[in-house]
Amino acid sequence: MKAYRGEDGRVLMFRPELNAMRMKNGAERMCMHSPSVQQFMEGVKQTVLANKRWVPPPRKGSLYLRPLLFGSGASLGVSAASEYTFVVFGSPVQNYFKEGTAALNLYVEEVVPRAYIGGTGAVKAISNYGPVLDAMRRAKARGFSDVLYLDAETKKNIEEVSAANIFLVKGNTIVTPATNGTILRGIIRESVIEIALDLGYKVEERVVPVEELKEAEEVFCTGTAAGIASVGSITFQNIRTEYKVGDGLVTQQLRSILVGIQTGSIQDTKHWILEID
Amino acid sequence: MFKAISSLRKSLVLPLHSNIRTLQTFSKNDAQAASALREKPLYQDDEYADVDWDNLGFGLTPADYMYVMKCSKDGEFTQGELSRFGNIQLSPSAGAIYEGTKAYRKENGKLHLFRPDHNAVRMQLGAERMLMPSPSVHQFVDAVKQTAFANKRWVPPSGKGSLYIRPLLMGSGPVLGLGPSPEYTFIVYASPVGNYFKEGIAALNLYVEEEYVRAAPGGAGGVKSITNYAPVLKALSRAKSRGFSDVLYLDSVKKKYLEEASSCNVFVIKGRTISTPATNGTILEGITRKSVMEIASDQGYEVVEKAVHVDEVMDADEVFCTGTAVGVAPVGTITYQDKRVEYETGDESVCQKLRSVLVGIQTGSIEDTKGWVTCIN
Repeated sequence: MKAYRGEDGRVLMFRPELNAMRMKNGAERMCMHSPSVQQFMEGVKQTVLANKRWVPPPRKGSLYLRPLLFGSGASLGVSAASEYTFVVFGSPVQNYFKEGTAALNLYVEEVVPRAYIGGTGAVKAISNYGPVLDAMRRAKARGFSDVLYLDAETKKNIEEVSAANIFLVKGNTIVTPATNGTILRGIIRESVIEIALDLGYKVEERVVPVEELKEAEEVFCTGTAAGIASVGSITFQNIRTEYKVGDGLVTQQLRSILVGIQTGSIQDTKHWILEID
Repeated sequence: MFKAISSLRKSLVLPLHSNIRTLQTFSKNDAQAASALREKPLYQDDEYADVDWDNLGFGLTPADYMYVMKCSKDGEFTQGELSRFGNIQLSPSAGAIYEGTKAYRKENGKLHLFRPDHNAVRMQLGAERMLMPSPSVHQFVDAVKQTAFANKRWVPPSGKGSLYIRPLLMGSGPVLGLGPSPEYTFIVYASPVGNYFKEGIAALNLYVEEEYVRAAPGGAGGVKSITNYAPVLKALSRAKSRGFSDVLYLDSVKKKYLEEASSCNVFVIKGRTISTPATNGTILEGITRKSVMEIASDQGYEVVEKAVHVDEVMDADEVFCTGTAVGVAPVGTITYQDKRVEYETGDESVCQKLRSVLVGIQTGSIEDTKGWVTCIN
């Protein structure tokens, strides 16, 4: 999650209660105790306030916050931990991808799945990230920005990118894979869906066959770290499809509104912003 | 861990940049402290730790010493050291793979390790899959020997259990984005143990899990990584609350083929044929598994590694599980979709025959013609 400094100097957070709830749900899946929503929010607020001088000036970035929950008690066999520790630390950040704000080039991974039905794909758990470092390294070594994963069962449908959800735009329709237990239910994802609906787009959450990548006009990724990142190309089985990028497009329109709300320059009619003071 | 938490609390008000400086200071101080700990051994050669050896379960009873070795992302593992067991300094962004092996005490007091070089190789392969550097086989085995020897008063008397040894490899450096750690730590600690399952040596009751999945092709199921264990706690605790000992997982694609249990491999016996699921990336290649396969083959059984359909399990004469922690454990019943099947167990079973040979080799009462046993004293 991120804390932003608005033009007027206020320090703002974007929908932190959703992160609190997501951690609670994730903890339950992993047989862990978690902080209550209030405790989570309190931890996050205190961390931001104490680190206020590390929140970048307006438009220079944000303070990225990392709430962490781990089993810290002694245990030898396979079982739930006897003690849990909740930690929050922060770090100022700007762009997640080394491309900066330039469009991304994604690679569709066919061997390594990110998650599977009956697994923990929908939880923001380390168990989803360690095993995909190998796929990411291979893709990055070939010049790609990140990896787009397919479903483990059929390898026919797109799921998400290593650290972001994915959206396809065609005409007035915006499509994103439905969250059914294997995909992380992104908070930016949810927010973008609502912004798009408000703007009059048709938004579909459903199974997205990989073939539809060839037909999309624009593609973008969403995540707290990634923001709304334009995708310039996707390569699948050695076929590279390119997408429209730049100003005046749907991606830019959605991004401007989201960033405007997050930094306080657009009025927050949905009560998504929490001011930290 | 409390030391780590209180220093983390102090560090919470500092951002990551300062945290990196703090962690580096900790590492340096720890190294200085560790080198000062090369004290003379405090205990007599034949002294036992103050433990109730007749009531060992499977919980953590930390032995005196642990072994710690660090490596940076671009460097190599070099010199490690023993230090007193204690909490470790840990970056909040750590990740881990681990191993499990045992030291046994022979009747004559000699201490044995069982095929530790295989654990070393398995950790190397797992580390490679997880983009981590790992100790060489020699470094791994040396660390395990040092840990076992330094803790020899914690190895239970012959027949009362073993010293379970836990090598651990973790990313210990600071990193925020999704990527390999800049620093790794290899640790070996130990704990005396008896039986893994609370059933003791009684036969297990297993439940075939159809909702939760342990691993998928292309994933990391074949690595002894923490990422395979935490996600199945839910299935395991649900089965245990219904009176089962453990869970048998099925393959993620067809949901019809047996894979393994939460903490052990599984074997199915029909007549003179012993089958076990083939290791093809989703299943952990157990060292006890491969040892039992060889023993069974020597005894004249037909040993087959293949895709084992769940129907074959329900039709078997005997079923047993294998693992370092569990040994060779007989399965009394398996429940699949409300159908419960019972199996032969007991002294005349094939499982018991195989177990006797394995335990005999591990504890030195059967001659080790295969070079599986390493004596450490």
